[in-house]
Amino acid sequence: MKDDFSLKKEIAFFCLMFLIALTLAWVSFSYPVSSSVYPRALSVFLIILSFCQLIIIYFKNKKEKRKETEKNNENNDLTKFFSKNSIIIYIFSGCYLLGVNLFGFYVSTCLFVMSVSFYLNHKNKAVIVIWPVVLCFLVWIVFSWFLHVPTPEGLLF
Amino acid sequence: MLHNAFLGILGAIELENILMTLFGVVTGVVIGCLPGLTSVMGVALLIPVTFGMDPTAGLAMLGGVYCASTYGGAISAILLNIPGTPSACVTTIDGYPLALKGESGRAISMATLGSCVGGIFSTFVLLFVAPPLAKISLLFSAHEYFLLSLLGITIIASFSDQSVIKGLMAGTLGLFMSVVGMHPMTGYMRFTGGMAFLVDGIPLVVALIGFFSLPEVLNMVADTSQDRKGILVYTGHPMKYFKELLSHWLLVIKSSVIGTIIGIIPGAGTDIAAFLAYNEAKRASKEKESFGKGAIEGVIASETSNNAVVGGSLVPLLTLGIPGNAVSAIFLGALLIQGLRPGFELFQNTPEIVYGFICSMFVANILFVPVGFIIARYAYKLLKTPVSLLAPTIIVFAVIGSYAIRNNMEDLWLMLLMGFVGYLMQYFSVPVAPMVLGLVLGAMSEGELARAYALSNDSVYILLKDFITRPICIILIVLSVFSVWQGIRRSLETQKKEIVS
Repeated sequence: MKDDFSLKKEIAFFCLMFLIALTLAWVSFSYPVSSSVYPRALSVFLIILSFCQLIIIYFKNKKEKRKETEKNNENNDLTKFFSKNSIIIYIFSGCYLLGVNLFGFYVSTCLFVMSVSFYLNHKNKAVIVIWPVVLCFLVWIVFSWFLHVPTPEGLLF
Repeated sequence: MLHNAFLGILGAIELENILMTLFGVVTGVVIGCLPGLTSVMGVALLIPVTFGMDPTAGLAMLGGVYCASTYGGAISAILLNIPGTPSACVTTIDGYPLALKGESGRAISMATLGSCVGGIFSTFVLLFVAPPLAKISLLFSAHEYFLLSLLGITIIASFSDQSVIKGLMAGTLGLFMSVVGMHPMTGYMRFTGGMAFLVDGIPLVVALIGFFSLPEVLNMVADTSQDRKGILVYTGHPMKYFKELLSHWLLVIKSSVIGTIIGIIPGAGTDIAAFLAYNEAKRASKEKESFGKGAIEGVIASETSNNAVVGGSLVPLLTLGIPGNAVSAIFLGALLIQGLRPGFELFQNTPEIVYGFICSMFVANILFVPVGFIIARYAYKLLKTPVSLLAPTIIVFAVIGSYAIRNNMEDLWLMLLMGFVGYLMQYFSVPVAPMVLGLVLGAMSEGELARAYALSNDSVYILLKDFITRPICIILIVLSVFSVWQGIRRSLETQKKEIVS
């Protein structure tokens, strides 16, 4: 049974898609016709689909009898998806890429793996230190030495 | 054709190719075995590794990952009651009860041998059906190719669990993403925002790695409290159950056929095949009541059919360039990166590569039997791999993979962005597969439409007239409309059931 929260989520999805479709249409129509027939058609199709989605949301909502939902439903859905851990690991990944730019791949990888393992409360502290070094060594052996796949280089290393 | 098949066998048994297949198989079984890691992610992460390789060796390795990861899910399904991959969901129904009874060895042996037979059956179908089917592509011109790409997207969208509209939206967004960069005819820059690294468009492999690896890591770390307790230990000698499998020969054949057919239909995946084969096994069984309590037929049916999907899903990919599922969409990316375009020309001009790849699938299906048995023996250790080590390791591989394509730092940021998009799509219950397919087929779709328009003397009227007068175009349009209609019907039925419940 749909609850208020999933209804809000559906509406948020519609708004997001509609905004994306409008933006894409606006940009597409600013290009010369010869180069933008296809994106123009796609943006119009996306707007139509967004409205179809809105109609579906409207009818679904009308049909369904609202029932009292569990109080923690809303919190569960949000916290499960955008959990603190997920957000922090995503931010860590961004910092890792910045680190790769600056310190190079191997140093940043060591620091990144160590910090993520430490943050996620890995019990064995020795492994937190040893695993990143072993991983870097394995990556170097397999990718750089054996397969000749280049790894990113930073400003310092 | 026999000459080409012989060429393929010679290619597949070259030492380099066997080693690469073995590497792919070992990686695939480990990926499949670990809950949270999927075949799609495994193949996407390994594509960059294939760059410097001989095309046959690279494709053999990816084929090994695909076959073995589809099978590997059974190990955790039986020993831990958690399917390693979505396709192994059905295996848990009877596999885990069997393991609880102390018959884990029997269940894993049957799953392994069944998967091997299913995989080999579908590879035979791929070997003998794909080449003649590829000749159909000779009848296609720009009009047909454009409609074919749309059909691929509509079929995958129609199989969306939640809503066909969301599936179509995802497909359209994927097509939009393929538009980024230089126009194929005029050279005009579109949607690049002045960023030079987007001139050639959004790199497919970077997007795939972002879509499939980061969201899985973020899901994995969302709940690290899930301790994997109660892992059962694999016991028994594997080969003593081979005779028992032979006694279920009819079930094995039926499941192989179901899996292969489901694989050939674009959009229907391994999980659907496993459910259908399981239901058929239950229907045909004399002991229906034993299903769900540890019926070995249930394990055989689900595992044989889900591995039979592998070869089937490559039939539309290699013949028409239409991927059967997300993994084969990634295979399409791997082919394009190697400069190979699916269709008749692939079989005509590069038989040693395509037949070598197909024959290496036989090798992979045989190799995962011993590899699977060995890994199953130590699975209880593997399954205890903590998320705190696994999650950062996957991100490191995602970074290497994304960088290896063009040695471009901006691609890493693009991968991070795609990862967020993929995660957001999961939140809004939007399927990722149609978007990936849109991205893969978008360039072909726009290019062929432009060619069709040019062939129609730059007249929209003639173009539309061509679409509704050419016989193959009519068939493709009817199929597209039918698939969307089926999707809508299925969505409505699901909603009705939800309301009633």
